[in-house]
Amino acid sequence: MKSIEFKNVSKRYEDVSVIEDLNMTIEQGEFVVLVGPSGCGKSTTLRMIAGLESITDGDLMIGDVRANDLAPKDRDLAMVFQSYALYPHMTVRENIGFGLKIRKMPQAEIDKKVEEVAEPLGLSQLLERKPKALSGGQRQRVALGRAIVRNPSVFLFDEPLSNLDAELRVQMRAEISKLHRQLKTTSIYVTHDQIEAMTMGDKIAVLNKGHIMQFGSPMELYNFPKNTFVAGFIGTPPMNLMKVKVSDHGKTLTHASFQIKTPSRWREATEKFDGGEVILGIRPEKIGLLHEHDDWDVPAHIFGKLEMVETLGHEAIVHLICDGNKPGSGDKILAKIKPKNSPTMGLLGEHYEVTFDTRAIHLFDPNTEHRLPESRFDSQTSQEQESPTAKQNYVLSLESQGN
Amino acid sequence: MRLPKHFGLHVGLTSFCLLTIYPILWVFSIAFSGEQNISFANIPADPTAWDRLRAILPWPEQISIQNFVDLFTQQPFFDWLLNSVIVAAMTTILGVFLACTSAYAFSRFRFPGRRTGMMMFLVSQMFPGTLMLIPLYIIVTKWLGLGNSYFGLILVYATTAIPFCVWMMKGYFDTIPKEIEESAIMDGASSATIFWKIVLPLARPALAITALFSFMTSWNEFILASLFMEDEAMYTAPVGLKFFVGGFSSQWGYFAAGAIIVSLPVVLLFLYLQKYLISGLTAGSVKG
Repeated sequence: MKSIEFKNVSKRYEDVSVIEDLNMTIEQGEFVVLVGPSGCGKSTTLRMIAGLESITDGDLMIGDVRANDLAPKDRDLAMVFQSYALYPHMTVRENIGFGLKIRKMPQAEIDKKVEEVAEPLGLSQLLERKPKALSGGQRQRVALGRAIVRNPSVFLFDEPLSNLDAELRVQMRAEISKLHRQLKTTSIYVTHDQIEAMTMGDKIAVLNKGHIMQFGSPMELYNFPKNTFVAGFIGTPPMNLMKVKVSDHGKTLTHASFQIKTPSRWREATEKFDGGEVILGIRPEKIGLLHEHDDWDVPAHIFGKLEMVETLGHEAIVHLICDGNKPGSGDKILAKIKPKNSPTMGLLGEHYEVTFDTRAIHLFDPNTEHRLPESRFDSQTSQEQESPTAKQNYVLSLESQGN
Repeated sequence: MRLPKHFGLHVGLTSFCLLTIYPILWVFSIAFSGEQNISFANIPADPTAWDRLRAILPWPEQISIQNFVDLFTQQPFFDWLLNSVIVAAMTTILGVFLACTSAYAFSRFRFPGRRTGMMMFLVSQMFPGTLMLIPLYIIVTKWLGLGNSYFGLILVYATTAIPFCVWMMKGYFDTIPKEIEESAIMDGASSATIFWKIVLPLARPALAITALFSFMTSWNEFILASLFMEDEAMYTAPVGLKFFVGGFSSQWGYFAAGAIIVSLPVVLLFLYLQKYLISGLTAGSVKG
C-alpha cells in the first residue's frame, strides 16, 4: 500500500493543456474516484499515475518516491482497463499469470497463485478458456484477477464497468468494493458515472477541463458542492440551478415562479448581491408535493407548466417549465414525487404546482459560480423566525382551492 | 415454361468458369500426354465436325507421366526448383522480418519522417518493376558484385516486396487495440516481449498474407531472375521453364509439366495458410 501525491502536476500536448496545476493527496488504502465528463482529464490523470503518459510539469509522488521518470513496471501498480485488454491468444490462466511469468516466477508457483486468485472470482472452471469464450462479466473478472495476482501497492481502474450491462455493473461494483475492503489496497477509480462514484469512493475528485472542482467525501460533495459544476454533476437528476433576484438587503430572493425569504445563514453573503442576482440551487428530491413532506418547515411553492413526467416505479420525476414574463421564466425545474401522486398524462401542458424546502437551498456566486459562504447559524432557529406559520397558511390555501 | 430463378446468371457464370479452366486443362493435358506437342489431333484435309471438336478438346490420346519423370531425370529441373526454394524462402524470411519490425515502428511510434517514410514506400509501388531493372542491375551486379548469386536476387526481391508488406502489416497493427500493449506494459513486459509475445501472435493473419505475398512474388518472378541469374545452374524454376520453349526448342510437354510442379507449392502454401487468414483473431480481447 502506498500513498499518491500530485504536486502542481500539469499535462500539455503541445499547446493544448489537459491537466493544469493538479494538487491532490491520496492516502494509503483509500479508494478515490476521479469523476467528470468526457475530456475532463480524468483518464489522463490515471494514465500519468500508471506511467503511460508523461508528466509535463510538477511532481508525482508514489509513496516517498518521485515517480515522474519511473518506468511503469517499476511503479508497482496494476491497472484494469475499460476494454478489459486481455491477451486474446492466451487462456485465462496465461492471462492472469502473464505478469508473474514476466517476473520469472517458477511455473508451479504461478499456477498456485493463479488458482488462489481465480477461486474467489469464480474463474476456477474457466482457466483453460480463451477470452473470446467468456462473457463480458467474466472477462472483466479476468482483468481484475490479472491485477490482483501481482499484489500491487496501488490499483488503477479506468472505467472498468462501462462496457457491462446495468445488472452486471451493479454486481461488479459490489465485487470491487468488497475486494477493496478485503485487500485495503490504495485504489484509484476513473468513471463518468456519478452513481459509481458516490457508492464506491471513500473520496471523490470531480474534474472539469483539467481542474479539480472539488475533492472530498461523497456526502460532502452532495451536501456542500463547492461550485455549480459539482452541484450539477453529483446527484441524479442533477440539482436545479436558476438565477434569482436579490432584494431587501439580501433578505428576499425572487424568481419568476416563487419568492422566498433568504435563510439567515446565507444573509451575510446575499447582502453583497443586493439588487443583483445569485444562482439558487435546489435538488429535485427537495422539491415535491407538500403533503408528502411533513418535515419541510419552510416550504415555498413553484408554479409551472407540466412538461413531462418520468415514472421510475419508486418515484416519479416531474419536469416543469416556469412561466410568466419575469426573468427566470422558461427555466426548467425537476421535482421528485411519489408515483401514486404522479400527475396523469392528460395534465401535460397544464399549470402544476410543487413545493420546495427553502432550508435545502444552495447559493452560488453568478460570476465565479462558487458557493457563497454560509454563516454557522442554527438553521432551525432562523427558519422559525422567518416564517413560523408558512406551512399552515399554505395548507389552508390548498384546502380552500379544493385540492 | 418458366426458367429457373437466376438461370441467366448461372449460365453466364458457368461460361466464365469454363473460360478460366480451359487453358489450365490444356496445360494438364499436355503435361500428361507424354509428348512435347502442343496439339493432339491430326486434322484430315476434309475434317468432319467430330475432327474439329477433337482438335479443341483438351484430352490427350494417351495418359503418361513420362514428362514429369524426364524433367527430373533428363533435365536439371530439380536444381532450378531448389534454387527457387532457396531464393523464395529466404526472401520470405527476410521480407517478413523487416516488414513487420518496421511496420510496428510505423504503427506505434511517432518519429520525424514517419509520414514521409510511409509515403515513399507508397510512391515506390507506383512505378512499374521493369523501370528499376537497369538501376538494380547496376547496383547489385556492378557495385555490390552480387550478380548470379542467391543473395543478390534475395536482396532485390526483398527490396521490392517490403513496401507492400509494410503497408499491409501496418494496417493490421493499427487495428490491434493499444490497450492490450499497455496492459502488457503494466504487467512489466519489455518492448521486445510485447512485440514477440503479444503483437506478433495477434498479427498472424497479416503475417500469413505478407509471407504468402513475399513467397509468391519471388517464386513466380521471371524478369529479374533471368537478368541476374546468367549461369544455367543458377536458374530459378520460371527461368528454367522459359528455357524449354525459348529460342530453338519447343518442349511443350516439359514446359507444361514444369508449370504444374511450380504452381503446386503456391497452392499448398495457400491452403496451409488459409486457416490463418481468418479475421477476428483479436475477438474477445476488448469489447467489440
